[in-house]
Amino acid sequence: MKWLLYGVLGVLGALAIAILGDLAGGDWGRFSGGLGNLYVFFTESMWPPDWSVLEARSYPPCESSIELFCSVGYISMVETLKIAFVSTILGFFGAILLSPLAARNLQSAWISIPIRILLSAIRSLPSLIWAIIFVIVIGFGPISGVLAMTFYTIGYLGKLQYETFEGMNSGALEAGRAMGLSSTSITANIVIPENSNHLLSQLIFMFEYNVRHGTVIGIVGAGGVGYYINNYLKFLQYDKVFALLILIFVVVIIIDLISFMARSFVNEQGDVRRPTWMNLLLRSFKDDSEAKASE
Amino acid sequence: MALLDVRKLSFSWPGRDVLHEIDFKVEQNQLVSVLGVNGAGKTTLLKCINRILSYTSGEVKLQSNDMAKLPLINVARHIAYVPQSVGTNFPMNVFDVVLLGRRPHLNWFVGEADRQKVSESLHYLNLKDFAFRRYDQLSGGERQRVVLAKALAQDPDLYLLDEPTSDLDLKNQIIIMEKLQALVKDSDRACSALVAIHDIDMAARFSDKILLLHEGVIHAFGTPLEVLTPENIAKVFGVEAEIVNNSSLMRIIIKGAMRPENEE
Repeated sequence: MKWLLYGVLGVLGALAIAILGDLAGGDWGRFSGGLGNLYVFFTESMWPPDWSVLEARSYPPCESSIELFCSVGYISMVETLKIAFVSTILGFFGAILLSPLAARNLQSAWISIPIRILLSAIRSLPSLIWAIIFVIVIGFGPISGVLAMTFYTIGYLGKLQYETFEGMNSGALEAGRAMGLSSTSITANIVIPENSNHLLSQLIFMFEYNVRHGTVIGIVGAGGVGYYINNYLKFLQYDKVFALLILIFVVVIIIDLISFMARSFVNEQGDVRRPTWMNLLLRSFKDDSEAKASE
Repeated sequence: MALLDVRKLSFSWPGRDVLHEIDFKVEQNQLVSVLGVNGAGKTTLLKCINRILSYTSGEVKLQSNDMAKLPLINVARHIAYVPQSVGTNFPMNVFDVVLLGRRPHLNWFVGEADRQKVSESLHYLNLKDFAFRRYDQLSGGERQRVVLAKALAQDPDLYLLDEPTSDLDLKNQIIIMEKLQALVKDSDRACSALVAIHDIDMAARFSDKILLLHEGVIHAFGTPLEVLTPENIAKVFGVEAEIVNNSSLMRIIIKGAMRPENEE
């Protein structure tokens, strides 16, 4: 049985290489020559990174005593974070309105299937395409980026949410129905509170995802650090592009770490029982009141 | 007049009949047990009566009210349903869980009468000391008493309980069944209970009547003495049993599983 599995994997691997050769038109030399090109491009155009992106811009004049706060790198990265934050929150509210309607255990097929199709349609366009659409409609700038990522967030988060709702314990839903609650009431009072940990975990994950994607959508003019990357690419300032890429890498790593830590509070993985977010809040209030009482 | 009147009730999942023309009545102040093997349709029957599931045909009347025509909130004012086990991820205290039972009777706010009813329910089930303990930190037996208190706070005409003793130790099983029996018998108004249960001894001891389900139809319905015969038990459960009946207690002694004739 084990050898059958390895055999199937071997056949699939060979098939993938054959198709790759077909796509390359049989010219395997392109792969070996390409690495040399990359080395030349990297050493001559990108290295060393131009850290002037972290120095104050010449115009508009810098009013802050800290030069970094007036730099292209800082301003654009903060704009990317703002776009990611606003679009994640707005997208979350959009998704939480739609996802209970898409869950098959909460609604009839007449409602859930059209809503699922709507969510799939929103999700089928990558955020980059949404950004192009909103740049055409609204014009260049961060608002187009916010709207583009909000739409994508609704589609993506909506799917995660309705799948979570469908996986919940049916006993709680039946108890709600047995109490004569309406479906709105069941959603507000049972479904969302029972799944709050999952919803928060997904929200944090989506913020992290949007920060990463916020760097891309700027390329079509929808604001953020990608906008500046695109400008530098046009003027062939690859050393500045490289500096910004390193900056993005560092910020994304930091956000990843924070997100991982934040999600560990609301996730229950394996046998490790971590405190729920509600417990954390209650405990912090309790600790405060106990501290005051002891004073 | 019968409190609950179920007529020709049928239910099916796509491609599978679960209940077929179920016909029975529950009189006032009676405890009726529903017995049957796994998959016989016990839970489905309770859920159909409560309209958690929509039956395909038939009629369910509670005190002459046709359940199918009542809004769900009105059904909840008449029927309390206690599922097998309900956990919660939310740190609710016992008082709040029991207060949920008042939900069908509330308008906008919780009134003094509602709180009073919750206190009475907690008192009746000896849960006073648990009122402000966390529900999710209670033992199985304590939780079962809390959900029964919630059903009591709902002030229903009919209790539907799905295997209320399945996770409990012997003492807690008896406590729960005694409380339930007292609830039905001592009530100063018409009120009955329909209990899906696996323990035949427990059913024989506490029930006024037993409904024996077999493959989605009623195999027998009547008093424990009428229904729990060795023949019925052999047919439905596939076990050999001996019935010992003295004046105060009926006991079923299970001798062993019956094997097909061709099996050695």
